[in-house]
Amino acid sequence: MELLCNILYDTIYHSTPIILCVLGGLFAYRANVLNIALEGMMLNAAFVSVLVQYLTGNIFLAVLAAIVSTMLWGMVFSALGISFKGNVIVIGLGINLMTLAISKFVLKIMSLANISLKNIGAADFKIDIPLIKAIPILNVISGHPLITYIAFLAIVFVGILMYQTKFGVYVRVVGENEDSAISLGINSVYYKYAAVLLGSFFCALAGINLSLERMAMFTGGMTAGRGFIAIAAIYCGQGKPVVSAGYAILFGVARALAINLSIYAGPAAGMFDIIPYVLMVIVLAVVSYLKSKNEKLRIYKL
Amino acid sequence: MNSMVQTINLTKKFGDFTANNKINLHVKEQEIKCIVGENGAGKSTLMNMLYGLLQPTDGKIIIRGREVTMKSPLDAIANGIGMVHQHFKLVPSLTVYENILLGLEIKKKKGSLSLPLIDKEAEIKCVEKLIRDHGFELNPTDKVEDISVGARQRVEILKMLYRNVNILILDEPTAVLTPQEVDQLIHTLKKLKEQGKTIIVITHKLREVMELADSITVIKQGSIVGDVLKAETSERQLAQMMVGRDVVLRVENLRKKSADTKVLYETRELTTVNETGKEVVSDISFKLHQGEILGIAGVEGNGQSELVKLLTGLMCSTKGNTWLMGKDITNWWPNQLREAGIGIIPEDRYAQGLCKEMSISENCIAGYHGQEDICRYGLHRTKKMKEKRDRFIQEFDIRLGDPNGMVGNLSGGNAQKVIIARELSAAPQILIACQPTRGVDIGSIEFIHKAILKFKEAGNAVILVSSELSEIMSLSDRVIVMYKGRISGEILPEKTSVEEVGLLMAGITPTEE
Repeated sequence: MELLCNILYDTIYHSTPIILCVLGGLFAYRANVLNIALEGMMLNAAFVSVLVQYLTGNIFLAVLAAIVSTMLWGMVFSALGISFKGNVIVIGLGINLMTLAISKFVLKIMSLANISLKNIGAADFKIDIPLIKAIPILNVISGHPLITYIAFLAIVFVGILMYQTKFGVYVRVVGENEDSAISLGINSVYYKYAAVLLGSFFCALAGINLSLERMAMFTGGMTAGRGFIAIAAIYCGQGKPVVSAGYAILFGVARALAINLSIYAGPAAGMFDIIPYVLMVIVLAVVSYLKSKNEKLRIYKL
Repeated sequence: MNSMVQTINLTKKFGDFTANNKINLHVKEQEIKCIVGENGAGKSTLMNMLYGLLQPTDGKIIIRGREVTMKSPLDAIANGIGMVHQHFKLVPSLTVYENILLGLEIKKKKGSLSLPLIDKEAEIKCVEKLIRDHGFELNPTDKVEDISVGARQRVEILKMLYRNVNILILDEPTAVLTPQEVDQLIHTLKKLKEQGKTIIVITHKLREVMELADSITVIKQGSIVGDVLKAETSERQLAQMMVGRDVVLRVENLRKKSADTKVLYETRELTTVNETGKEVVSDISFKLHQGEILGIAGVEGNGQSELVKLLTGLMCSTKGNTWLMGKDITNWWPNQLREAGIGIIPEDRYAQGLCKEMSISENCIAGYHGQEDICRYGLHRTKKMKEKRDRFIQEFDIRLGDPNGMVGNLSGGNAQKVIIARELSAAPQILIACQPTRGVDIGSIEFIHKAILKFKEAGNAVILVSSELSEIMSLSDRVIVMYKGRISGEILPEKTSVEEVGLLMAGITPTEE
């Protein structure tokens, strides 16, 4: 019973950054700008938020700095990839490598292995929901940091934004038939920028959640491929907000299982860490197989 | 009548190439103006300038007596100009009403406050009214990907009408329609003209020009070479102006009774599905006799592409078989088919027929590159390849600047001739020709048609797939018509009217008496 509760609680806990990344990557995916820099953007926010908090002790400044700096990376990505028509894969890879290098470089200068915040702890961020807190099992919903609640509410918000508003329709149109958008005077460049920047904003939230809110610390490379897991989730969900978020939660389940089961594994515990990644490969393979099952063409499409 | 659209010395250059040279176009109010010319003559460039998609290098555009500069289609629409493109600019996954109102969405209101959400019900009502007002047949809530090509075109027209344009430009509007849909379109356009719209139609189909136009402008190599009223011209004169010489509009074709000759090629119940699992080719069975051209007609997108891919080894079947002279060749790969004696002229010459970035001589042997005369000890013999290329250039009248250049530098007609030379000179017994004259100038069309007929008369057989009905009807000995992946009928061209074929293309099978 307690194990089940732990797994459920951890699922919500671990799904959050992936959900936010998925929601962030969705718009770019639908606008036909594949953003593989989700990982780097998230890492940047994780690093900047903890660093600013460490240096200034001001939580609002930390959050603001993380969001602004991540959106600057979004601007860099958009400017190079959309305005200058560079190869988005190369640019995305560049951002992923650079954010990782910058954080390690700064840590080195500060002669720290990682940044641990002293004046604030992960427990300070947890918010209990009255009433629900007292209900068994359901109480796993309670006791999470603010961004976790935001992430789950954002699924609904993004669903509405994607399907019920002009913005969402235009992003989809730009991705599906850019000529059509241009012929009606829809500024496709603007919507691509907006899609990428909205993505950076969500990645910033993911990063802040990952480092500052959940652990009050930063270590190099702590995103550990979550950005790529998010891309896999987007791909499996074909860019649909709720379905893609569902895959994100699936990967959250995998991590929750890995952590809770490894307690019983003794010396082999480390091996359980690979569960989410193995699951990702399996899910991707199965989804791709189902997609191409009926493919009778012998021509290879790029 | 007043002048509606006028251009003065309008010029467009792409680098060194002059696509439009000092065009002085003059369109009167409430007339239907047809602009004709061969592929690549510069018709589309001219229209794209009028619609703000391209900016002129030089010259002026005058709309209703006022000079305008149009930086984007939005400016054109603001000036009352709307365009229906040849390749529709619709979003397949959206519905009809969403496409029509794209860019002009109606928002939900709460009192006087406008919410950021789209009011779908108001949008549907609005589009329903628009459809009723113009007497079109459309269901506003259908997804565009599910409706026919003719219906998609009506969506495009409505999209422009909703924006209150009074000048409507249509780029090759009949290319993808059945003959009946063409009649319907002509009717619609004439009605719009009566309602006060000015219409500009770009086309290269002269018969439709004669039915539709009030006045005609002929463009050749970027310049206007003729400006005539419909009443004062003929199809033949227009063709002459387009090409610059007398052209044969019809080739001589000695049709044969084929039933008594040997069956060379046969398919039985050939079926396949697309990536979403939907059946796109269903139970196609036909026999191809020696000395016969079998035409496959149909509106584009009714499974002909997939059928050709099946027949040429680019796609696998889920059911059914193909035989070549009694041998089962189902799902063979293209190289095996070529070895067995099947020549292939693919649908898209740059995607499947040629490699644009490679030299002409390399393209001349592509698909036959392992043959002994070309390849020895696994190495290509460059000298032999060049000899072959030079022979092709001579025999097939391929006109080029640099024989050592890339095939991508050739014009459409000459690039197509490279494919035809390559496939025919390998002496196949069957030729599968798909859209052999698409985007090809009139001179080359004539040449290609003659080459195909000559090949047939030498005792071989041809499967001809084309969306140009006139091509199918003049070349084929027998025609099967496809509709939604099935054969909707088989006809003999000399005994059948275009109207009857049109009905079959629309899936209407005449009831047996």
